[in-house]
Amino acid sequence: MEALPLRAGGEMDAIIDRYQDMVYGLALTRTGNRTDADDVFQEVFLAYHQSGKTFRDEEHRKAWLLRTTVNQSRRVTSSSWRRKTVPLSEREDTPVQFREPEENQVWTALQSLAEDYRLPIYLFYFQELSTQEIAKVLAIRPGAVRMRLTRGREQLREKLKGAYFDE
Amino acid sequence: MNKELFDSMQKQMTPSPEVRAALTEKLTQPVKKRPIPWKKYTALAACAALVVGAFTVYQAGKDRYYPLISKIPIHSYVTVEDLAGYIPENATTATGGSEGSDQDMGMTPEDLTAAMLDVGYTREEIEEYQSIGYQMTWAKWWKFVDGQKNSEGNDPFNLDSLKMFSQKELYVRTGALPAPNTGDLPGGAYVGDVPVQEGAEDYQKLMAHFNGAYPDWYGGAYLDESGRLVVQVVESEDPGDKSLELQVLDWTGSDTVMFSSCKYSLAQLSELMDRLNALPDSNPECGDVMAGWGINEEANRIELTLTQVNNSILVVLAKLDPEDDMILVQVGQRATADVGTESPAVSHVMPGGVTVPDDEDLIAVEPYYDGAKYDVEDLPEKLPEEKQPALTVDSIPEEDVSTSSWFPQE
Repeated sequence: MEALPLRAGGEMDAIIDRYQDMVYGLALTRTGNRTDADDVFQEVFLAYHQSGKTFRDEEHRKAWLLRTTVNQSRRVTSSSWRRKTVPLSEREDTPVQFREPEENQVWTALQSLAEDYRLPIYLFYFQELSTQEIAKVLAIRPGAVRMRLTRGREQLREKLKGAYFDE
Repeated sequence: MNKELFDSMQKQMTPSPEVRAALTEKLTQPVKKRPIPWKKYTALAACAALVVGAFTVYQAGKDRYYPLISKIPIHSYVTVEDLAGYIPENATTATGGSEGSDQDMGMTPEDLTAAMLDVGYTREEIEEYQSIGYQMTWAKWWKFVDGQKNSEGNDPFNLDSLKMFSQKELYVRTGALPAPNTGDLPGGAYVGDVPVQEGAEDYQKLMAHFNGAYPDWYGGAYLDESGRLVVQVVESEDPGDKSLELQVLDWTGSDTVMFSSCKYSLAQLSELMDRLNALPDSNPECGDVMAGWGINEEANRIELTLTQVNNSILVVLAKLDPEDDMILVQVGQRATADVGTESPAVSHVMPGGVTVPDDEDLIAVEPYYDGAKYDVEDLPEKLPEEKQPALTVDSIPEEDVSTSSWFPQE
């Protein structure tokens, strides 16, 4: 793995290249539309650039970015200004589109889950994080992560008729 | 298979090149400092001030209705052994309000003169007695009169018996600044032994230099057991600086003067004495229980004797002496000139810190001639003068075998 500076702010291009898909994917999963995901993506890396934070290792940096992404996503989706001024129809106009039909099917099923189940499913299957790492990012207990994964999988199996999400 | 699906989806969840370019542009701009939320801080400060103010008002109201005595500083005091025999008398007079309630009041010179004339003392005896300086109270006077009436002597009301009574029972007011050491003591005694006299001479020379104005470094002086003068130097002075000591030695012309350190200067103690002297007039409640007070230069403090203690005077003393080490408050102390009792009573300390000598010192040393050192066949033209006792006695009391406590030596 390429060594990156552990102090936030340095070598920003390399940091963004490495983590942009992770941050953007989580933001997209959390917000459900690309407009908000774009805002979150930019806010997360701006915050990273201005924080001046020093990280112990790459795992620490990764966890910080994921946690900040969750927080920024929550701030964007829960802002009263956004709720009052952005019509629901605008969000529906910019749906996330994937190339393959089964991908859109999976994405639609994932978005239909409650947030509590959606984020653990994304972090576990798409980012391949362990239950311990997911617990740290979401600030919940590992047992709760496992429980949400189980229930989320059950709901997805029902929606997708048993495909894609095995134990 | 599933992993391939998820990887494929993840690769499509990537920001557009326009968003990435916008982020890169934002990163190149200087970091904007977050504005300080002054309104938020002002509101928080106002809330805090409101809470503190409300709490203060609440506490003030609480104290007004439920005063906490323990919060008011009071001065410490010590109770002495004679308390049992002395306090009840004053306690009765203080709370009685009946006949004799003025028995603890001090007698004015006119009162004392009239009372002494009533029992048969002559004007000369009255003047001699009053010159000693005893502070007679009505209670003590009637105690003396009752005691003498029951005695078996032919002349119960003679001056010596009154002096003996006064020595045992009365305080000597010592409110003034230390006067030059004349050697006079209450009762007509004087400092007679030679070592003490040498120290006293050193002390007088020192006082002559001060001329009544004590420097800040001077904490007082006293004679130690061997009669040498000990000069107290305030602790704040540099202990390595010996110029003060050399100056004192130069002033006294003596090489036997010793030095010790103390906390308070004599000027500070004198200032506090002035305030204590004014206290009976400004606060009669305090004055009623203040029996005697004076500076003990050896102990570097003021010693105050109270006939009884109450919170009022202790609060006043705490204000005068916040550190509680400048005034030693004794309650129920029978401050007497009875030299047989070791007690730090005020009357034991002469002005200048000279302690009251023992009984033996009260007897004058007879003049002597040391001619034995000389050859009688080769006498000098002028013989050395006879050495006189340290201080002469102005008036020798008349011998009265029936009442006198001493007899002339044959």
